[in-house]
Amino acid sequence: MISDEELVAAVASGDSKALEALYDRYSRIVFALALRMLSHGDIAEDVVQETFWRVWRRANTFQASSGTFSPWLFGIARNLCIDELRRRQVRPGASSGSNDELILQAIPDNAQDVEHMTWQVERRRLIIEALNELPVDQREVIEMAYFGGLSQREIAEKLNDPLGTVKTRVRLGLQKLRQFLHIQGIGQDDR
Amino acid sequence: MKTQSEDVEELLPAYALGALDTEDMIRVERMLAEQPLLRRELADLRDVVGQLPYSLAPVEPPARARVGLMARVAANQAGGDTAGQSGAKALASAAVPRPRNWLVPAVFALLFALVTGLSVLTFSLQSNLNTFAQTNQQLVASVDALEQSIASAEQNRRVLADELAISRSDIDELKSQLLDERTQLASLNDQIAQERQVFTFVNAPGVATRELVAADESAGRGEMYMYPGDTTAVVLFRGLSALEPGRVYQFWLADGVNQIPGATFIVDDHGIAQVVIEAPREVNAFNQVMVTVEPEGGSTSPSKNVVLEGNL
Repeated sequence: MISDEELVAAVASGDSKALEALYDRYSRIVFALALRMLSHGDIAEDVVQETFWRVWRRANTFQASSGTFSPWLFGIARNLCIDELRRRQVRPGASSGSNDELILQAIPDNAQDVEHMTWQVERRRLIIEALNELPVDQREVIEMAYFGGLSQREIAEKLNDPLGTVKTRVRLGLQKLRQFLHIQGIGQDDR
Repeated sequence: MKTQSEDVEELLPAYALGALDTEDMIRVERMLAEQPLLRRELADLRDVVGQLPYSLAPVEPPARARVGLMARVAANQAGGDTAGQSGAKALASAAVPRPRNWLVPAVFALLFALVTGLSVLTFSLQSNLNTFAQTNQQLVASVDALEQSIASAEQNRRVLADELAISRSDIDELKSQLLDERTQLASLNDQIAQERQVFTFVNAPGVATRELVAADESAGRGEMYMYPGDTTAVVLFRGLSALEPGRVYQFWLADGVNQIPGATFIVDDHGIAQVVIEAPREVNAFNQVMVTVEPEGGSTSPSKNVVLEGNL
């Protein structure tokens, strides 16, 4: 299988087929992330399209030496979601939404590579398990920061907790998560 | 006490999550630029953060998202996508058009906002226009009033100039009249002085009187008052006829050898006149006087037209 970095290099040279391959590989996660953050199907769809459009336009700015592709891609999608949240001045709810249409769309696509799909399912299980290993208050602030697009100060105000406490929870929570994921073999080379 | 590096290292997890406030973010980025170890730590944390989306159940996006994306890419490859070249366009305008249940209301809302905005703008412009028109009318009225005031002032100026000219003319006339009256007054004063002198002269003790008469008594008469040994005499005439223009009466003194011309005079409307005589020597040295009619200015020898005569 061609690596993400090879595909990005091809995209940077103007290969639209490479972009389609990346789209097939990551659009579901990007869409899920946008749905979780925005709770709005149409706008999440726009986020998906705009995220990959930016990959097309900015592929030559991606530096493989600074990290792997997926965090860069998710960073683009997440920033678009935060921009949208700030534009709407609406913060998402804690849940991922209850839209029936989204549940139907969550059914795995049979056209996907079975091995890839199997690995995705397993990785999701491991990550959820790692998150569940965290104390609830640490997991909560990490999810509010990442999926809610909130700063530590905003989290402290929302939870009515001291800022220092929130900072400590974020730091300890992410460090523990890193340990758990490393133990479970989830790292930068995983896909 | 923690070092600055340790302090920043503690902030790295929140930085990787994008949860730092601006002030802390600047501090972290400053240290990252200086310390490669921190950059490696951050890359590791970002990989962890990058796993978080995998905790979500994957969701297949609608097929139109892919179609729209590839249409944009194709347009971009053909050089026809101008919107994508800005690189920072709004998310709402990014997608290729597709059917949405909110699109129609959004269009109507946009149109409503546009119409409302234009209406407000039109109303504002109309209001401004009305204000300008009112101001213009006020200015025109003010200019008209000002022009009328100027015309009125000009008319007043002309009237005053005319009045001033008339006043100057009147003043000149009054000055002339005053000068005449002063001259007349001076003449009257002279006349009064002369009459006082005559009155004093004729009423003084020792004065001698002689009569001058005409052959025809109806032609008038004269009375001469004089002092023996004095060169001055006064003669009062009455009943003399008014002479034709260019003719005057003239008084003469005679001593049997010479005829000395004296003063010339005319009479008033009543035929009266008084004449002061200054003789070249004492009056009683002469033995005869007479009055003739002469051309204006007098003569050096008497004419034959003798009106009055008398002996001294």
